[in-house]
Amino acid sequence: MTKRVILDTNMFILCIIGNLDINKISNHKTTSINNKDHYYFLLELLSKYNELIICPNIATEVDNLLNNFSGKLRQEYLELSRAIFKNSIEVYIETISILDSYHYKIVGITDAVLIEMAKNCDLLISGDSKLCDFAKSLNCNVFDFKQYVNYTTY
Amino acid sequence: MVSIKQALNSVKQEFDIFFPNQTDFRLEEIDTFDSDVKYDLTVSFLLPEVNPIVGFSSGINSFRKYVRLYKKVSFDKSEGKIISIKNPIND
Repeated sequence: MTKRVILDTNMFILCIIGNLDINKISNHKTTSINNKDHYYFLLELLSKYNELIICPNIATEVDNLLNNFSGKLRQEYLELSRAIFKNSIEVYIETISILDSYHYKIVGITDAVLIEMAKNCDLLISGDSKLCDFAKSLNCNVFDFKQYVNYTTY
Repeated sequence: MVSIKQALNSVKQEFDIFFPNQTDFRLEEIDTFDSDVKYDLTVSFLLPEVNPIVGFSSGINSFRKYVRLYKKVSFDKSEGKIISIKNPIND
């Protein structure tokens, strides 16, 4: 049976930085409260799903935040992101179809797109508290990663 | 020198006084990594919505009962005290 999962930008970044250099996780602004245990836990969560669903909005946000690596790390980042995106299922939701939604007014374009995508997926894993609050209120299946990190670490 | 966990606990206690109705207090980001003097933290918490939207859609009613606020907190590591609390620039 196909099980589909979505990662938001924060979770994608944890996934990629953890893979590139696990010691850099706490040095990046987006993953500053995370550690290697959180990275391994995320991998364990992902292993229960066989399709990773992405969208252009997330791919763009992730690349904007991570494409400033230089040298060897940049090459590794390019190869890793290429492998991840090539092995994912890309869903496209037109921006114009989101702009009139209530979701857009609350959480913005990318997160409103994620909410729409989550309706057709088994789980949304998010490190964005506001997005998680909203997704839960809509009865989306969401794993609130920041809540998990706070409960287990701080 | 207080640990980040101790600092966060102190910040939460202060916020319990400032915002007695707050729930789901969280550490969101650690903004400084190498300061020996202070922690710069972003925290968030839920407050009851002052003007909850009722009847707009049953699916969002529960959400509109609360609003999540973010605050940037500087915390003195040696004194164990809050230095400042600010709103994030884009909040």
